[in-house]
Amino acid sequence: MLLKNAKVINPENNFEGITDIRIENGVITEISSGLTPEKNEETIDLTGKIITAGLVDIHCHLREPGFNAKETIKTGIASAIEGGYTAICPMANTNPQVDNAATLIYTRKQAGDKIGFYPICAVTKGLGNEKLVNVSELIDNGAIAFSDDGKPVENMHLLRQAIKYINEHNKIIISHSEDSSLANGGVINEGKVSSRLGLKGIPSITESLAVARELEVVRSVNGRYHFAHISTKRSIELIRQAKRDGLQVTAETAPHYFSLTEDDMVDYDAKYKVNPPLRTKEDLEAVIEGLQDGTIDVIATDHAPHTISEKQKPIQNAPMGIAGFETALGLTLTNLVHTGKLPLIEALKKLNYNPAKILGIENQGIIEVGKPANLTIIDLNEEWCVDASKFKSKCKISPFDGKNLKGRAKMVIINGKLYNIGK
Amino acid sequence: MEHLIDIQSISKQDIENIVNLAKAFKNKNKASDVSEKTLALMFCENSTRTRCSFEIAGQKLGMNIINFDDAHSSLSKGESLKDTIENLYFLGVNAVVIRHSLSGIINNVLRLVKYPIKFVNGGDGTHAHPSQALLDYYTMLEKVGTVKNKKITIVGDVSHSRVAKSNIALLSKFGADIHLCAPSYLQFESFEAFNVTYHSDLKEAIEGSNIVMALRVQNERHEKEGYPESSEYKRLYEIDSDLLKKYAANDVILMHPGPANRNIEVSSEILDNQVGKTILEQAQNGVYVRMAILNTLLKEEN
Repeated sequence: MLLKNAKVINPENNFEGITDIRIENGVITEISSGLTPEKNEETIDLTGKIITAGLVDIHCHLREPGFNAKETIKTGIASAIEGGYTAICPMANTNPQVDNAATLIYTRKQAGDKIGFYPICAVTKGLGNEKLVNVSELIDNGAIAFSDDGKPVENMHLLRQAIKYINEHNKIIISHSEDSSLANGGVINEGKVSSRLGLKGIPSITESLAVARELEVVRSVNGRYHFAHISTKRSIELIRQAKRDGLQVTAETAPHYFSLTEDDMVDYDAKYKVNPPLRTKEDLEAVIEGLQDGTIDVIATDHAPHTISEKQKPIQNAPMGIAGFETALGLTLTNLVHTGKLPLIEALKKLNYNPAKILGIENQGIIEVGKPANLTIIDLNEEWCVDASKFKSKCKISPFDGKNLKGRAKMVIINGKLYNIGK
Repeated sequence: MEHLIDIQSISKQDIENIVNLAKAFKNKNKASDVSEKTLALMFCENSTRTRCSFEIAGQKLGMNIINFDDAHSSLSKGESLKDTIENLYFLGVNAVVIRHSLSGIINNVLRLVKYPIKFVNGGDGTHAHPSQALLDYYTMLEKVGTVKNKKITIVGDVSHSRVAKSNIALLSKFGADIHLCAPSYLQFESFEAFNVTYHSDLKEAIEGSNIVMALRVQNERHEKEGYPESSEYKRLYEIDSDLLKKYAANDVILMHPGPANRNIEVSSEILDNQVGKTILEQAQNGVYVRMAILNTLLKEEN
């Protein structure tokens, strides 16, 4: 297969230029301008398009096993491909939880090899905050990282043990940083909007207190550690300082934290309900600053699908989460790149190279001769309207439904196999 | 005015129309336009005066009224509020008054129900209680003529109070000088929430007030953690005759949405004297204001 005339953007080596890419037997064999098609070679003219390393999502929820009405591994993968992803890392909070080798093997079998599939396993048995999982056994069966995401690890002795042991096996913990005594059943961000609406608030210190505490633990063991879905100004300040101090910590945010604030939530509509909650304009600006100065390394989707009937419940009873795969790239390009807040190559780096590097996912996030072809082809300027009813995800509801976005993925190539998007 | 969900979503003119109509009903200068209509009272949380008040208002308007008790209805079988209300519409119900413990429940149901039934918020969680604010406003006008530039001080469990929120929304539209007084554990989380003056000192808040509105201390909404006993509240915030005499304006009006905790937020002595009588007049005016609300919503249907 020959991909011609696209602008290739490779965040790994900061290469940006118009060139051709040849793929044979799923592997990139040549990167050079002026390549000519060989006899019977499939040639795709990508003039005006961008080729970058395939997008890698290190934070999503596929709900299988246990919650197949919300999403299945199959529909989740279809949704990820539609969003331009070539690799995904599902979280462990299914039923049963992915805290044991049998469930891990089951999910990998369900996924097959259509997409790069790298499960994240639980840190504690049953996400129960007590017993550490069998770390080496899970790694031998394909665990890429460890996280109790959905719940915080709040036992600091346990966390300290877990960081040391998981790091010893060259893997990391991804932290859902939340102090549950402060979250205390809250529904939306605590502040002027929660006061006006009479909804129980989740104060921003719920996140930053947990971040501060966990940073102290990481410091004490000189650990490597990753913070999921960072949403507040103070958390970002703490992580920025920790990085300056030389701690080996990384952080991600999700597109809704640089696209929406508490003020966007209208009429008690639970489609805006997410954890951490949508914060203030000041927090949103801090998230963008964190992305700009590198405090935030990764843009992850936190794809958290639910059924429409669950999301139509009264906001107090509806589950938290936003379907993220099919809007993440469009929101990044629209709200960060086209607004001039982040250069395109930097934005892409947070969607492909950095996440693959942080979790140590081989053959993803790079464009190299001799390596498997995992690529995403992007139209930077296509204007489109989000239509949640057409999502490949089972979750047909989104706070971005009806929003106009600029830029989207047109194709992905996974191990040399091409998938068209929007067809 | 399509529905009565909260004060924010109705206009100043709507409010003035309701007040004028309530006055006409009170003076027996107005006949019902809605005697053929059916009203459902769906009270999913305890209530005495609001439910009775709407029921009497509906009776005075000649309406058919059905009472809908949460515990004995299909809601307890898990039928959603949306399904229940759509069924009521097909049974011939024209309007439903909903009282519920969840803030925003009516906004949620309104988004889902596909049929033109009229909604009246009879108090939702800690969000809004618009008919209470309207009857409070009506009573204030009877007592002091206008609220413009009057110092109106709301004292007590502000953060859990749908009455306070609806009164702030209404009185702001008419230029009142609004003051809120509460200890920090009962105050709004954000002072940006409403453009009013915030106090923690009762004497300072009462100073020169034309109207003082005491709120019920809602012990049932206070989780175990982070709140002292109500005796701690009483020490600093109980309103009695001496306090009003010493600090408030001479002709101060004392109001309370009820039910009052005697000797907690207001002294028993003041409730039983002439000043306390306004609180009963509020309840009485509530009937006429609710007649005006129902007549306005259902007449427009014609």
